[in-house]
Amino acid sequence: MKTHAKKQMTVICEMPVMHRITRVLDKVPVTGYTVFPALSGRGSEGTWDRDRIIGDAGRMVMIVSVMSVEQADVAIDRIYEALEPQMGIITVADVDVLRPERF
Amino acid sequence: MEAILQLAAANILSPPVLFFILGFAGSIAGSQLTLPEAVAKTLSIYLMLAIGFKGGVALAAEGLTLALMLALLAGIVLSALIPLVAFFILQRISKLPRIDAAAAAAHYGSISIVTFVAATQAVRSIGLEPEGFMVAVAAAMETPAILVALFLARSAAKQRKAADPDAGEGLLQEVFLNSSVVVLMGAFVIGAVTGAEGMAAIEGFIVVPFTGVLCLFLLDMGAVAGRGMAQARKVLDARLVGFGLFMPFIGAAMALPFALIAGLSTGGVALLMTLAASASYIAVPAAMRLALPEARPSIYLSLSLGVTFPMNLTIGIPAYAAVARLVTGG
Repeated sequence: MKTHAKKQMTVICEMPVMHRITRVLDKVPVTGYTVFPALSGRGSEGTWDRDRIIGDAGRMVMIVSVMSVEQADVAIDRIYEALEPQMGIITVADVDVLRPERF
Repeated sequence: MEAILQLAAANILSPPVLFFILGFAGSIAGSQLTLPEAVAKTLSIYLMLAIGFKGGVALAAEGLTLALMLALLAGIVLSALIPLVAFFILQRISKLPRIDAAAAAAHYGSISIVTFVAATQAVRSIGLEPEGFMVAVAAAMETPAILVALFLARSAAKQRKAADPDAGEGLLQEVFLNSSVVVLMGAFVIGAVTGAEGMAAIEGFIVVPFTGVLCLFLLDMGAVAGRGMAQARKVLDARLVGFGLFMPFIGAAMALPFALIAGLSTGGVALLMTLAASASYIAVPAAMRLALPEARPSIYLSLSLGVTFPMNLTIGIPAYAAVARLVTGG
């Protein structure tokens, strides 16, 4: 089956910052994105668990979006600017998709 | 002093506070006790809806009064003044960077709605009936402190704005439309509009189960506060812990003359003191993550959640109620 090369951007960030990231993706614009709640983890500040935190500060989410190479070039700079002072992780990976017209 | 001890004993032996202590002690002992996020959120919305609605119904009976206007004004002024005092004290007694001190100060100017709910329950349990509009005062006190903190940390905030023009996006929604303000004020308005008839319609939902739901919520909050205290032991030195323990009494003392000038009842005085003494740990941390991301959450959350919140719930509330009784003769 023929596949097509795209970029997958994954951003793990704090919940209060989530809308700042999705606004950037909306403005690029990318076709879509999906937000997952993160359950627990460990980072430079130690371990954390979603159910053991009160309020949105400290709760993490993962935003995943598949886009073209050109869109990824635009998005990565803007997301870096928005996330630079915050805790979080941005990764970009090469992925293959079956239906290129959707991204 | 005897009156304070009697009130403290009555407060500590009430089911909500005992459940809080259970959660707190269990967490300190290493229990993994926790409510799922969605359940805890639902319970907190229920409590805000119930307390907001009851306040609105009380306002419908009391009508708009000068005391309401004065109390609202007092709440806003206190919320703006307390961070300045807290910031000044933190700069004098600790070596916290300016931005950490400003973020921590914002938490003390804003309020803890759970402390307010617990205080309302405690004040009523000793026969005092606070003004219904105190709910609106609580909502009004949520946000001015955040704006003052941004002013205090202005140099860092300016740098942030220059580097990222969108840094303020989302902050206004977080500040003015966070869920506690929306539910509390929304329920307050609905209660004021529907009055006694509205209360009769949903009394079975918001009055009878209230204390039981508060017990369940405080059990979880006790566990959260216990974990906060464990974190506090790691990140706070003795001076900061002292700040977390004594700043509430400074806030309460600042509120007392305002409450008396506004002509509040004994219960209302106790509640305004409690609001001024309490520190936010839900709305303000989220706003600070957006506005002052360089400030360390481990400092401000440990202070407000691990030190001030349990102190207020066990010792602070009865102390403020006793002082209110002493001063007003109620």
